[in-house]
Formats: sequence, structure tokens, C-alpha cells
Amino acid sequence: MNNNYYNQKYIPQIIRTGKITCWVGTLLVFLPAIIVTFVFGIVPSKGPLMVALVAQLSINAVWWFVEPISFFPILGIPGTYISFLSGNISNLRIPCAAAALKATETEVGSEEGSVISTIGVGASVFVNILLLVVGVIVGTKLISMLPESVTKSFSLLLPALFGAVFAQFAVDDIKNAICGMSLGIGSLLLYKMGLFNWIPFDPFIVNILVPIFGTMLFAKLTYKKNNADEKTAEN
Amino acid sequence: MKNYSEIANSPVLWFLTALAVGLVLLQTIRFLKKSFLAGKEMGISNERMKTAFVTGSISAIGPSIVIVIGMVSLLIVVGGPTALMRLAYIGNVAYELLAAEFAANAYGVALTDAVIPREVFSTTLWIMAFGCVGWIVVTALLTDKMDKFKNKLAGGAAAMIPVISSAAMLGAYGYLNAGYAISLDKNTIALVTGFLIMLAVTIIYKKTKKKWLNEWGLTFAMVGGVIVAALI
Repeated sequence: MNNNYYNQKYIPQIIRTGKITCWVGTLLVFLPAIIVTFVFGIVPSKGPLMVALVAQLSINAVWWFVEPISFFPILGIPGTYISFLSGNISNLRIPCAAAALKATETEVGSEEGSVISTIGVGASVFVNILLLVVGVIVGTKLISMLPESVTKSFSLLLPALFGAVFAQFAVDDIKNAICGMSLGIGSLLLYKMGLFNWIPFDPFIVNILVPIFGTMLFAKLTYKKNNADEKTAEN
Repeated sequence: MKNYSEIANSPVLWFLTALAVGLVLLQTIRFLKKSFLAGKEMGISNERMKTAFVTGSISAIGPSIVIVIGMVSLLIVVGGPTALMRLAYIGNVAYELLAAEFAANAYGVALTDAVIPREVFSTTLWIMAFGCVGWIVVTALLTDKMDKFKNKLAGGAAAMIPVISSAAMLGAYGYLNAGYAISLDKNTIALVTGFLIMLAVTIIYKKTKKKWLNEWGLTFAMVGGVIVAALI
């Protein structure tokens, strides 16, 4: 067992590669728009561009900060780089990281956990890209051939998966699971009633921040309490 | 006015998509190599790392199918290369569809209209780029600093970090599940069935320690959840 390897070699290497690939990615992401505008000469009208841009950014700019910070405790440093460059975090990377951790009985958030979840997420990148490439080639034809009832039921895959991942973690931690689920449902109901409309940006972010950080806080408080109880019991 | 679909499916755009997907693959391969190496140094058995890889692969199939179906509606609007690029690289299927819709609305047309001005296409590309660039900029700037933030949350107690992280996981799924839980429709049935099947699988695994249960558990729960919800 070599504890120093993780902090002195692995993480610095990952950070270097992660930063370089993200910055290259930052430039690359604009190339299609630049080429279509300046090479093919389809120049967007300024007015509509600004209108649409403001609409899009008002909805997702807050998530640029909320998502990396909220999912960091689950993904760790390498998992965060790899997940945010490849995209589809909550609907794909998190379930794959969670499944890999559970299958290997590794603790979330530990050093081993960040290696294991990176391997799980890395594997998911290959499968996802492979299926997308197949989908882009045969997709339209194949999916239009399927009866609507079948394509509709595909959308049920995600709730079934989410329920299953939740079960895996809930088994070991029933109190925090009840807390997470209650905060999730509670904040969503309050949001639907319009109670968060006073927030200057998209109030929907409350629905992710409250359950995640609320459950973390609850875990912290109850952990301390349990430990204190144990200590007094020992004495 | 000429339809933009030829430009949307042009070789130049396919090339840019190949570059983006290539960057993702390059990063992934390098990260995997480093992780396997680090795992070995840290004393994680080869078998556990193999299980992590196999489980990650199997678990990606279901969600990827959902993404591919989202891609089909996207590629009708923005063409194959852009749809592929946006779903294999930074984006998220929900936001990308939204971008196309906002662009069309700004020109006073709907995506389902017979003739869409070609400016809608270039506008969509700009919005998609600006819309998702923040995720990697924030990731590039903040990721290496977030460990300290997490340690602060744990109050410096090393033993508490896994507890806090596991709570973050449960909180994240509290958020992800909430919408399906309160919709009280087929989604709710799928959610609850998936939960119950996985609960059973996990309990059986704890007693029998059969490894395949762990690797395939999510798949059973997912397929079971879909079938039950579709039939009821």
C-alpha cells in the first residue's frame, strides 16, 4: 500500500491532463459556430441571437457552478474532469460511478473511491460514444421503425435506474436516505408552489442544492451526535 | 433560400466532431491508464478494477439508449455531426434541445415548421457553444481546489469524508428522484419498481456474495422497472 502515490503522483498528473483537455475543449466547442458563420457565411441576426442567448444562459449558466460543486463529493477530482468533458453528468456519469463503487464495495469519497469511480466513468465514455455513433448512423431509420409504445417506454429507463441506484446506497444509510428523499420532494413541492420565486436567478437550483447540501449537513450533525453518544456510552 | 441541411451535415462539421470526440477519448484513455496504475500502487486488486470497468460499461447501456433517442430528435434539427458532438462532449441532451428551440423562437418560427431560416442553425450553434462552455471553464478552474472545500465540510475529520460523500450521493438522488416521485404516473412506478428490485438484489448479494449480481443488478432493476411500469 502506497498512500503517497495517490497525492503525489496520480492527482497531479490527472490535474495537469484535466486542465489541458478542458482548455482545449473550451476552444474546440466554438469551432462549429465559427466555421458555419464565417466560412459558410450563415451569419446570425444580432437581435434574435441575443434574445436566444439570454434565454439559454438564464436557464443554464447557474448550473455551470452548481453541478461541478454538487457532484464533486461523488466524482472526486479525476471523475469531475472526465465527467464534465464528456457531458451527461446526472443521467449517465453519476449512475455509472455509483454502480462501480457499489459493485467493488468501495467507499464514496475515499482515495480508492475516486480511482474506482474514474474507472467506472471511463468505461461509460466508451459505451456512450459507441452507441451514439451507431445511433447517428442507423438512428433515425431504426427508431422510426419501432412502435411508439416501445420508444415511449424507453424514457422509463431513467426513473427505474435512478430508483435502483438510490436503493443501493439507501440500504447502508437509511436515515440519510430518508433525509435526501424528503428534502428532494419537499423542495420540489415548495418550488412548484412558487415559494422560491424571489431568487434572482433560476429558482430551480434550490431543488439540487437543498437535498445535496442539506443531506450532507444532516449526515455531519447526526455523525457527530452518534459519535458523542458512543463516547458517553463508553465512558 | 437553400435548405441548410447540406451544411449541417458537411464534412467540415464531421471533422470537428471527430476532433471533439477524439479529445474525449484521449482524455479517457489517459485517465484510465493512470487510474489502473494508481490503483495497483494503492493495493486495489486487479479483479476489483476489472469489476469497476465492467460495471461502468454495463450501467452505461441503459442511459445511453435514452440519450440516443434524444439525439434522433436533435439530429433532425441540427444535423448528424452537431448532434453527435453535443451529446458526446460537454452537453446534456435536455439543454441542447432547448438551445434549438430558443433559436427558432427568436426568429419567430417553430422547429416543426416546413421552412426554417438557415440563420436558426448558426444561431443554435452559437447558443449551444456559449451554453455549455461554462461547465468546462468552471471545471478547469475549480476542480483542483474543491478537495479543500470538501474537507472543510467534513470539518477536517478524515473519517467523516466518506460519510459526507455518501450523504451527497443520497441527496443527489433525492433531487433526481423527486420529480419522478411526485409525478404519480408510469415514471413513479418505474422509480419504485427499480428501487424495490435493487433492494432485493442488494440484500440477496449481501447473503450470497455472488459477483454477477453486483455487475448486473442495475440492469435487472432497470429492465424490470420499465416492464412493470409499461404493463401497468
